[in-house]
Amino acid sequence: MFYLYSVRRLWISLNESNQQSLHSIFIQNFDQLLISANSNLILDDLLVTNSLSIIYENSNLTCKELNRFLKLWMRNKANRRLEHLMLNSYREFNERTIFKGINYKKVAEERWFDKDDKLFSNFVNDAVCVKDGFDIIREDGTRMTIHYYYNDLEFFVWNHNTLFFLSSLLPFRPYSIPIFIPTMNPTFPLLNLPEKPLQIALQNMEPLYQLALSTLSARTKVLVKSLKIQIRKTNIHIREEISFSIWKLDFNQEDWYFLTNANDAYISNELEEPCYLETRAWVDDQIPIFLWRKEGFTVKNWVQHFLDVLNREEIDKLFFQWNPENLNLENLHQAIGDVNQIHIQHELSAERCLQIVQHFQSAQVLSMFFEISENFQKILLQNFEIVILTARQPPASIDLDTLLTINSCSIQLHRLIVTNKTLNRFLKHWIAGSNPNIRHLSILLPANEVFSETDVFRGVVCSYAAEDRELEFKDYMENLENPERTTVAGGIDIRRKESGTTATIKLEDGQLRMNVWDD
Amino acid sequence: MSVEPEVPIVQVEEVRENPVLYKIISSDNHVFTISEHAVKLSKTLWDLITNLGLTAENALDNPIPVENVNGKNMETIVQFCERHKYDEEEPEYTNYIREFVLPEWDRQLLSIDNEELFQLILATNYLDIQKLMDYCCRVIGDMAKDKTPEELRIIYGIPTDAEDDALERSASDSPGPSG
Repeated sequence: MFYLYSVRRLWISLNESNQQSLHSIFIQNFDQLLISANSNLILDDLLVTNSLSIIYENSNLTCKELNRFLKLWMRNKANRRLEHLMLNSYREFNERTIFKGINYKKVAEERWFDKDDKLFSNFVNDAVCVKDGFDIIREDGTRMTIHYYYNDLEFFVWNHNTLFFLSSLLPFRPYSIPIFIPTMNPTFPLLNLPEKPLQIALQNMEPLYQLALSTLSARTKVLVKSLKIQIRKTNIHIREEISFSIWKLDFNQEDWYFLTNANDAYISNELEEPCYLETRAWVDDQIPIFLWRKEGFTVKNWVQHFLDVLNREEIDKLFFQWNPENLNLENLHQAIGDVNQIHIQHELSAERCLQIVQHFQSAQVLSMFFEISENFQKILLQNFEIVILTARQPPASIDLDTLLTINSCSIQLHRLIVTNKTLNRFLKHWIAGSNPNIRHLSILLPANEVFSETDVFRGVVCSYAAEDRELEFKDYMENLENPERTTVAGGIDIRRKESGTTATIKLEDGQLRMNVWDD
Repeated sequence: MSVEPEVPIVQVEEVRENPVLYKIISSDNHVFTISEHAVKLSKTLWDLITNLGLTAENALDNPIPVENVNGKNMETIVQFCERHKYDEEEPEYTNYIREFVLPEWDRQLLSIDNEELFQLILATNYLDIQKLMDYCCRVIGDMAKDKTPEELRIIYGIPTDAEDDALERSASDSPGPSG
């Protein structure tokens, strides 16, 4: 065991060492620690190190380990004293891996970091110019700039003593990217404008900035809400992070994305902790990226804020695009509220899908992969208005019982195997009264599979419509509210025995479309 | 009505074919000449001219006092109106950002200090000049480009909720009008 209480700077050369002994060194509060030689340092070593300035030579740390380190640092759980970390001869730099799941911003601006003399006594008053880098922000607002240059990877933690802008001598602003240079009279008293010019001024802002303004106070929120911004969709994507996107109804169909920084939310269920918001939006053919923060704002607060400002009651679509096994669905539901549609685009187990469905019971539309299981049958029994089932690979066959279970308005089967016989029997059951709610059925068979019209309609009482007959049906492909219209020419008509309700079926190779006539 | 100008008349650019000219006096007694086509861009001024019954014959003898607008702003306004007097009528925009582009000449004209811009908007609002209002507001909207919310707070001087509350409290605590 080493005790080096009076030592401020330690340069240590290691070969093979006892890991525990090393930890007892690393954990001490040196001002500067330089570790040289080809030691097999691992993430744990970095995590226990508590020095202000650390230089690792020939580090073997992987990008994945650095990613983990940065995530822990951002959550204030790794070396809070750290001011500067340098990995010499680091050849493995991979931006994507190091910043995976982290909200970071690429900055191509000249920043100067003053290397404090206590850290670099050989270079008193020396300052390092960093011409570009990647900025991340710790949950307490502290910024770190990561700079990679000629195999040296450096991490600079911003603080009032060690950072300044040489070019402009601007007041230090630790929590925002220094892109705004105040002029002599930087403030335009927007809210002091009379009502009419104020409204016109707000309408002359890109929607992204209108939303940014709405986050500043209750007053600006009301103002932006009054603009009645028209949007088409609000979606939540569950990936490694939670993202919130808005499709604006506009000439350019612009999209806005808001990504939360609840990166590790699924591991620690920290959905209710304050988070930053990374915003991306199409503005002037560019995608500016910003980090927004609002004191105490959680995922729930951000989502509710946007829904409120945009005059929306609920999220339109919830996408699962990752495997959120550890995600607490109850917390998620509380955070984002009800949703209109659930789209499970990741191959989750039927049990997990059932849990999702049970937590978002108000959803009217379900889109997921098909599988044969008891839980899957339970999912289908929840009365969704629209059910969209897609085959996994290799495609499975859907059986008659499952088809008869789905009592939805619209059933859409993508690349599932539906045999001629199954379809034939389904039509006969429909004529006899099954699936009373169905208005629309569409089937797309796997590649190279085709229906046989003879087999599908064998023994089915039907009539062939003239090819030039055109019927207009509501299109229930996406939603039930305000469905678009679709025109069907010709087709084969079948009729329910008791009610006389008619349906028209169009069969083309591997595609079938069945539309039920309005009564 | 006849007011003797105290400062030299500011001449406007030359205008086409025998224009009818009007005189306007700003709050600080600067006198401006403006053509009929240009003055029509201001709903307030044109209503006033109509109500006063000014004609081609008596217009120059009857300067119009505008007490809410100073000479500096009036000069900008006259320049703007003369520049745009033959423009087509301003459409009613449903999407300002997508439907109009601020011309370079106007951007230059409106490259002024924020305080001046604010005063110009107040004057424009009073004189009811829709096109100039739209252009000024575009300049304000453009200030938001590439800014984070906290930067917008600085640029537009947006108070926090706490500051708004404090302001409201102090307003309600202060004594009301006497009598």
